[in-house]
Amino acid sequence: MTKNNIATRIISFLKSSELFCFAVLWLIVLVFIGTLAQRDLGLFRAQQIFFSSFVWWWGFIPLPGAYPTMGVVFIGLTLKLVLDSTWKNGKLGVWITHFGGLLLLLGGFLTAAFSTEGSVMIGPGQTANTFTQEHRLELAVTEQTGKENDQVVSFGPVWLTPKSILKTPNLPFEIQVDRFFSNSEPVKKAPGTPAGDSKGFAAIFDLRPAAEPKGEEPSVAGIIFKVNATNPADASINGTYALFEDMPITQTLTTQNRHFTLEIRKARTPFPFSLELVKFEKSFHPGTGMARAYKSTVILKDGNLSQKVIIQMNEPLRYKGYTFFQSSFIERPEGDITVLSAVKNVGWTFPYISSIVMCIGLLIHLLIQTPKLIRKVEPKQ
Amino acid sequence: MNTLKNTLRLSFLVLGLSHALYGAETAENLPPTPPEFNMKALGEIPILHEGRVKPLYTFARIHLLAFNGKSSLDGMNAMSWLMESLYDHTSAFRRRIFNIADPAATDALGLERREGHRYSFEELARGLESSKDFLQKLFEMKENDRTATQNTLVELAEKSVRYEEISQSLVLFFPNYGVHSKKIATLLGIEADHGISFMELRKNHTFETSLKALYQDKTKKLDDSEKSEIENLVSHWVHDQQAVNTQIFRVIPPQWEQSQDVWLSPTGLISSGLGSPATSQYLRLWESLYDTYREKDLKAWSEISEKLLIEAQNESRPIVRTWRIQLENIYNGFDFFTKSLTFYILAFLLLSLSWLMSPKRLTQAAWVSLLVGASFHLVGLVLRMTIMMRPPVSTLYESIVFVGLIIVVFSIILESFRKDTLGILMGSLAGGVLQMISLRYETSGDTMGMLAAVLDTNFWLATHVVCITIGYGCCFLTGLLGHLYLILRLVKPNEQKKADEIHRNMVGASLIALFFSMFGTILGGIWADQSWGRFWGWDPKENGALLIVLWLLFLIHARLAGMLGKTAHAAGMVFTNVVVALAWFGVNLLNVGLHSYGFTSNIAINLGVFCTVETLFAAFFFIAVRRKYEL
Repeated sequence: MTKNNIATRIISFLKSSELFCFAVLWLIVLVFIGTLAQRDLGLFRAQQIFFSSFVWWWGFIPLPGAYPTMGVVFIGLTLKLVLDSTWKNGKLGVWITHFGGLLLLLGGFLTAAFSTEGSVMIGPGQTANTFTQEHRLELAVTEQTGKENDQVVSFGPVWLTPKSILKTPNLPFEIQVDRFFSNSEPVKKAPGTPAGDSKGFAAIFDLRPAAEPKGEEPSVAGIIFKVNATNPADASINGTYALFEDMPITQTLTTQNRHFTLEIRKARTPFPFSLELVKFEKSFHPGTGMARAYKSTVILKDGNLSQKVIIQMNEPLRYKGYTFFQSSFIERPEGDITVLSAVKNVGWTFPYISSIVMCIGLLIHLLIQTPKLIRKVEPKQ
Repeated sequence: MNTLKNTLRLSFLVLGLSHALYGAETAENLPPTPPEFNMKALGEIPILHEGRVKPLYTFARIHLLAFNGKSSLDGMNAMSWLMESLYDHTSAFRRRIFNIADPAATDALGLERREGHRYSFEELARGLESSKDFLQKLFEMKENDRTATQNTLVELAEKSVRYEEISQSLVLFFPNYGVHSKKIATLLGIEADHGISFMELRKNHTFETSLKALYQDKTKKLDDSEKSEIENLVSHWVHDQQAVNTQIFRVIPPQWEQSQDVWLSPTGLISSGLGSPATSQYLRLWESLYDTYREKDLKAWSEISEKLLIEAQNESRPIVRTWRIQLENIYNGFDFFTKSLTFYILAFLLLSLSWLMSPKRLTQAAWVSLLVGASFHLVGLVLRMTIMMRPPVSTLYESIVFVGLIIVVFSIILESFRKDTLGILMGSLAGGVLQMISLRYETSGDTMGMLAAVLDTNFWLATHVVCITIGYGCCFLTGLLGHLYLILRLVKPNEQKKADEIHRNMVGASLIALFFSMFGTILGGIWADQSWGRFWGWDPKENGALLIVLWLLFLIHARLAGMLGKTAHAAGMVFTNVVVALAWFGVNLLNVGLHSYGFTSNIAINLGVFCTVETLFAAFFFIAVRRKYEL
């Protein structure tokens, strides 16, 4: 068999309707199982396992996740459109619809690959220029400069693996990750246990891995790491440390009159402008506790620009590729804190364009085909 | 906190019940039907209930439906029942209004099992009172941990509290207090043998102190009848102090500019101090209905009712549009959906008869009946949209009504093309079944309820939700055609041509279904992008919509690719009904994600039965047809 023959066969297989049908059937299975799993695993974890994955495991059997399945559909559809399109009038609607489908899948890929999302909490009169990503962790080392802005060095999830060494020229020490737990629990060490080289919280507590929580319960990430001072004169800070999310007492390090705090926390992403909350308003349907509307009045500050903006349900703020949505609020006696969802998504226009394209295509196809299909007797050829 | 709240609620109930039991009469002694007071004017009085200003008739109707399962009772309409509940407790508490269909619940309450399953408030109160410790424990449990019967008992307790709250709405303004003993009257500073209301007594600041002193002071030499009168007064007084908190009967429109949204109940008005001369006049009219009701003075009742309506309209004019209130009463009074159901059933019966005798005339009659049913259906839906000023679908109930109409409309289009009764059969069958289901939802409360903030947008309700529900309708139509194709192939092998035509229609319908389902799903994604910042979040409701689209895509492409023959394709289309039912109702049962607002607890069994029957049907006919033709 020649190379050409093999290539032709592969292409023929990839663009075959049979493969498309099996891929769609498999997607149906994935969507069904993934949806049921949300009841126990929660929405995010089920999504990670079944929909935002290349492979998932059924016991010891590896099965394709939604990414490769949709990839197969995308490749097949592209090949079909490029190689097999017959430009007959009757097929115009079909071609346009499938092209729209491709655009939708492409938008989905861009969103999955490049979008970031999180939330911003702003109290009355407060200003925010970062949003917190709920499902992404970071180890943040903050140098408290005593000036208006502290210096922060953060290490994302790819660095939080055993034996990773975290160092930058700005830090007078390096961090070597010993263990990382996506969910952990602190356990007090037994009295008399030798401290060894453990420092701070780690001197009194051990961190142990905990089972992944069920449903939407939050997990508490934890990390155990070693600190090695770059300058031998600062060897007093060397030792093993432990951190977990939202620790009541912050872990600090002091060396050469520089003060640092260390935290394991939800990743914070800066955006290139800031938002100041003027007021948050909520209203209820009269005589009930049922919300009728939430509204945040904010000042958008960008350099010299200072613009009053209202963010409310179904009316987000879009600015410089970022979008802010009214998501929730936290009641406080001194004034409610607004919670905004923040998203940066380069592919956000694709669904809009693709839906228009697909609908035009399907409409054309329907207008051509449906009268024929509804009539009682087939028209004579 | 929740437990405490429940406990308080229960203690109020128990207090109320003890009052209800006072002078209890036997259940067999059923109250007479009251005379026919004119309720038209009163029915148009606006009331704020569950966040919406609605006519009093709607308020009465939704509560009677919730308690009794029907919108009329013992020859009385909902307004007559409400007025009896407000003005004549002796009869009202003995009227059998509570529908307890679960025999295990009646057993648990110590009530006799009874044909018709209807029980009076007095009977229910007695049953709940005897089980109060058990009920207290049930209130402390989570809903999911309780059995179906236990949930019924909790619901009954809540309903009885609500009923009592309604019944107590005006009681504090009626002259229910009085003593025969001149000695006691003098000690309390009131007139003997003269009725006086709680609200009047409350103005007399020394009354409560005097009553308390008399009750506790054993030095006064009182005879047994005097002691009994004092105990009665105390019992009433304690109970009525609870009634001061009743808020459900919010018939008093906002009085002051700064309180535009604040509608008050009569008792709420007194305790808030937000009254005005106009509200005093308004309340006096409500009070004066008391005497006319008890004296059965129909003429005076009508006159006062008219005055009340004029007062209510004058006071609420800037906020309430009277024409909408009147329109809602027309909608309720005419009961369009029940009438459409009747005509759908009639169309189906006439069509069935036409298969046995005189086909032409009966077929024509069935066709007309379907059209009349569809007209009622459409008018009812348009009226709802006009009253609520919002698109046709915003709740689960409305989606059922709308999907029913969509199937009927497409069936009518199909029939006008084919003219062979196929459309009549499908329209009458699907329209009838879905209207029956929707009528069951009416008993769960106001079907025109207010929406959560994120849903309160007419643009997206008019586009995404309407498209998705049209998609549901078209899918069911496709599924029905699938049923017909399989039945025809199995039962009438000679009619292959007709079966092929049905199959072709089914393909056409599936394309329309795909168009609306896909467009609706994408629009939903865009709405989610606008509201929550992401086009797709793999939320169960989104996944449900996606499943429909994927399933239709699979069936259409598999048929085109020759992977599915006509029989398998039709069986697949029958299974579309299962996919749609799961997407429509099933995902709500998961109670996960941002779309979990439509949770319904009693549909799991019905859904399970439907899905099983449809799956078995598809499997059986697929196998049977293939065997028959040795495919």
